[in-house]
Amino acid sequence: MNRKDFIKRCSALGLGALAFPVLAVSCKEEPEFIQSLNVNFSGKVLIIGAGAAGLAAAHLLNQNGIDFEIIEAAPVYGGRIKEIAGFADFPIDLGGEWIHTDPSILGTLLNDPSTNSAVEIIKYRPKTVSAIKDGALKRRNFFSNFYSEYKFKNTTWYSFFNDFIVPGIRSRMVLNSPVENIDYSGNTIQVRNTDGQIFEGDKLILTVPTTILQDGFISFTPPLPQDKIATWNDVNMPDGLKVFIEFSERFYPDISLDNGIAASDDDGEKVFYDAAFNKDSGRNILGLFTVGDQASVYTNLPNNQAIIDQVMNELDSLFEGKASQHYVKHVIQNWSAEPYIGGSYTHNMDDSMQSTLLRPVESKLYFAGEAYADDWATVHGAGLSGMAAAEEIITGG
Amino acid sequence: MINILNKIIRGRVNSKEQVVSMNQLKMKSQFNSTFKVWMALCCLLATTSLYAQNEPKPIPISVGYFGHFAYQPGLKIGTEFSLMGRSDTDNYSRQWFGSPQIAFFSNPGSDTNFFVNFEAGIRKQKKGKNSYTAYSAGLGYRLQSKLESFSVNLSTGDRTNKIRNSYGFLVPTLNIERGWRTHKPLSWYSKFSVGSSLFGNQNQFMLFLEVGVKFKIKKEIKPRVK
Repeated sequence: MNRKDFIKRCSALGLGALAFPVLAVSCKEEPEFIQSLNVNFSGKVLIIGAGAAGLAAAHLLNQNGIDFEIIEAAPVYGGRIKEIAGFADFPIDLGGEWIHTDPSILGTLLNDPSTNSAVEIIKYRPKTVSAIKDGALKRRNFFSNFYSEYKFKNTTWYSFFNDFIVPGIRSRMVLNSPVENIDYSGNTIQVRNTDGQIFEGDKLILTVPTTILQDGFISFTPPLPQDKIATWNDVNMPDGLKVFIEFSERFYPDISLDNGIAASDDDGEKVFYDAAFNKDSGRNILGLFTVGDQASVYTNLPNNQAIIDQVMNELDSLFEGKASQHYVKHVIQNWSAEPYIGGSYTHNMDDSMQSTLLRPVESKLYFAGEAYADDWATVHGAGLSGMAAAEEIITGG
Repeated sequence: MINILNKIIRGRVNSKEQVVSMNQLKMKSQFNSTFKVWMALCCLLATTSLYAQNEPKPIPISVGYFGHFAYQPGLKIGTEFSLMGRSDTDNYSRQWFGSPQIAFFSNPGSDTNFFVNFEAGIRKQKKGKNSYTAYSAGLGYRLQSKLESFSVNLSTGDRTNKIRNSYGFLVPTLNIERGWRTHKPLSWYSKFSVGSSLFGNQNQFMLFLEVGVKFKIKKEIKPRVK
């Protein structure tokens, strides 16, 4: 090898090594807007469910001048996004909390290239990481290097939808209206709620959680295809619970993962975390987020008092009695016990199940929600799936 | 001096306990960070100058890709001097060396880091071979500027109003290096380092992969003109 060859080879190796990681992780992402749609639909769309998927679908229909109506069973909109204000000096997400992708996704969901709005975001990378093994905390800060997500700073997922999406569609939302039957046998679709009220439309986007469909709260006339029902019944949407506790002093790491760092989703998940992380808060708020079998330990208890007693006992055991010593107050969100929700989020989705679930029925019934999304089990995934269903209806695709 | 040492060991530059405005806080942080980096650079240059004064030989320089966990990219520049005379056996030659270094590495979109380091170790080379192995221990100071929050524009995805905090860590390392002298003025090397960032309860295991070249800069001695 002569000098020229050597320099050439070194340069190639060196530059390659330098360029690869930079290219892999440093690109700024821009929102992807759905603009200039070829509108091939002029009827009315009924949207069942006012969670992230239903709201995002309605927003896109509204932007394209399509008539629609949202029918929501609960007295509030949001579904599995929900916030509590006033518990701390920042609003707390009782439901979906993390942004599991680049935050530019918020611009994609808003779908408005002319907006000047901005949202404050936390780069969520805990500095102190622990694993809970055999009832004791083991320091695992090493994993901090690979932990990278985002959270809202002084807002929440709920307030994002509430502030940017809901204002344009609020007037066409009917709350406290649990649907019991969807009749799509005729030219128009008829939706009947539990009060016997009938809503009519030409297309329908169904965004209710899979548990509601599995439990048969909604009947279909004619019945849905058998393969779709069978696939629905295979979807696992296990228990889910969130607890937030205020303490007078901080004694816990940024995040503590139960069952070790590499616990699989199949076993469930249980995480104690500093809910005030980078929130510029003067309060000490510890969050507990748990789903799956580990959540069932709590959700199977008879009441909220039993749940908080169990959580406090665990914390006292982990932190040598400091939890009871510094306890101020708490709030519990039991998603398994939440009417019209009944669990956390989809756990065992795969492409084949999803294609069966997503397939529209007779070009009248469309489906959206976190279970139907590419990024399933996420808020942004639910929103994007709602937009995809709306786009399909608008374009006649 | 004790105060300065305390600050360095305590690490965190803009503590929340300090009651100052955000602007003051940022200025103080930037000043402290810049000061520390300049101090480190001065130390490095002073070492090189001293070395150059005593030994009018070419100055060895190493430049390499310095990857935290291999994939977080960075650049490291260093020099080297002999700590003792070379000891030879029939098959091997051994040389104790000291190596001051300065490096930069980044976890794009999350944090950027300056790293000042000193390593001392032994290099072992089989006679008649062009490759060597070096074992060393190092002690460094890592100054990390970490992105804590920002605003994302919903139209463009641009990130503005970035708020960063600075953290300092002492970093002891153990290193193993393998080098090849493929051409006389140039050799190239690869190196693995493991260590720990020490700062309160934020101690972290660290691993570095370094790949680079070593060469020598000739120091010209100009004759004195009277």
